[in-house]
Amino acid sequence: MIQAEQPVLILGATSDIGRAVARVFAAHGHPLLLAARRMDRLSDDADDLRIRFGVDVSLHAFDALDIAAHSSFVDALPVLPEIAVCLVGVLGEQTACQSDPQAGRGRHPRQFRGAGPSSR
Amino acid sequence: MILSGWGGYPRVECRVLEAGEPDELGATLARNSSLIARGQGRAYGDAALNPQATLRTLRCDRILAFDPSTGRITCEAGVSLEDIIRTFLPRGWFPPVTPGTKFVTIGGMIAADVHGKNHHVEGTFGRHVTSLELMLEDGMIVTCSRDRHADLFAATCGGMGLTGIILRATFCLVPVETPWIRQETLRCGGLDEVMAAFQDSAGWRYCVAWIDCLASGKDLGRSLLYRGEHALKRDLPLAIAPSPRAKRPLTVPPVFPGWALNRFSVGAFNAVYFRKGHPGAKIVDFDTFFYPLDSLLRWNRIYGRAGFVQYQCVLPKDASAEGIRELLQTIGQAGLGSFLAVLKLFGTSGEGLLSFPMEGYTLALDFPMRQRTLPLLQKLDAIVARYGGRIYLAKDACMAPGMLDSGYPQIERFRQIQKASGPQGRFSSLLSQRLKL
Repeated sequence: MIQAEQPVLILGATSDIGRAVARVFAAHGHPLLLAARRMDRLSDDADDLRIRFGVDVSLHAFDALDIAAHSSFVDALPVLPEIAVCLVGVLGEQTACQSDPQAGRGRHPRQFRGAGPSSR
Repeated sequence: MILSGWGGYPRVECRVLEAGEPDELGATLARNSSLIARGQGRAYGDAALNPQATLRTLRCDRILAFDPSTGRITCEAGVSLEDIIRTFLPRGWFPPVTPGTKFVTIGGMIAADVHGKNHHVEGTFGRHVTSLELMLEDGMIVTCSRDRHADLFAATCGGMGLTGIILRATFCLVPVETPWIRQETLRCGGLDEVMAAFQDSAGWRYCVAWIDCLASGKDLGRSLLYRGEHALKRDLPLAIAPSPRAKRPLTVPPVFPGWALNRFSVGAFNAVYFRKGHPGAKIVDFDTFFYPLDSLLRWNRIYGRAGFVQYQCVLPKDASAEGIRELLQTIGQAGLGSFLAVLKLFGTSGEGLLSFPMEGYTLALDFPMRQRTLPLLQKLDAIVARYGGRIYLAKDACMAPGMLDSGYPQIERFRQIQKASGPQGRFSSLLSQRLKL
């Protein structure tokens, strides 16, 4: 049973879907921990979530491919999240990925290699 | 992607780009020599269309600051008015100025310097903007206000996106006690009567009239005048719940066949609408008062595939009685009908160099796009020009360049500022190309 006070960690929070998911959790009152490689890009999202929903938001640098740093990332979080959502990845151009195998392969490591270790 | 304005005319294949973070946006600008920003696409004609590059701003939808003691808000340009109302009306705040739809973006409201039913009291939306961030064609971001880059600020409010990309803006919401409106309806038998009623209603915050375009002779100008105030708590009957329940919007079926709307159906609609309006006072919810058409999502489809044009002009106050009469007579004789016809008395004009409102009467109506429509519009343009009036750029799809120059006396100053801030002329739309703006 999900309760409103449970903190939610969003990995890959700068993505469009990351922003959308954050708003849904915030609307239900969950405090948020937003994590992304480009942490500097999250401050506007944090302001938006605080103003709209009045929830606590903290920001954290996280690189899904830097697997060695994952455990120190988790240790440094102010609270241990009870819900974690992984939305790391770059979709890129569908047509480019279809026609160019290199373009397609470039997309996969972040989505699949990064997500596995960080969810442990 | 085939895009059009809200009127569905013209429809044009456009390359569509999405606006993201400022650094990416700068790179997008560098790669495109001709581009225009587009918000919700509610300008009726060709203002937010550029076949080479049309930049959608809807992802830029974050609220960045809000001061609950003053109502001052800063947000990105892609935030919609609907979003602002949904977020802040429950906290007792309402937009200072709203157009007839809430499905517009803040960036679009500034670019068109929109007005509402309270123009005679509050002016245009631009009056309430204290500052805005604008990205120029070289990717530089400037903060414009009445103190800094004041010329660019005056050119951007009403500048139809042609001075740069509006990134964020700061403006003030107004406090309201309830989400309800205390409305009075007056029935006016003719043009002189409704104009007198507007004068008498100057003390009301909101005022607008629906005019029956098909009435002629002694009935010419027959209308219903609605005036309103934000209801106070003590105005509300006990039976009314503290907030109006969100009504589920109806949707118009994909596309009505064009023949569904003819002189007879429009005449019937007008007659019914006119009879349905009961003179008297009542409490209505804000959606009913401000956004009657928003409850019919995609109502623009009612005109069929060929689309429609909306015609909105304003005449100087001294010339209004005679000029509006001549316009209504010409419209009535053409027999093209109009689903909507709205009359309003504007207050004095604002700071925006290309801002539409001036003191006088504005008339807004729709025409289905037919072969006979363009010649009629040219006739109306000639009348408007003769009386010293102008056409609203956010609605226009058809007027000739001469009409712009005669209607907007500050056009040369606008062009100078635009040239100085963007010598390459990167910001361009089908509207600016048509009007040589």
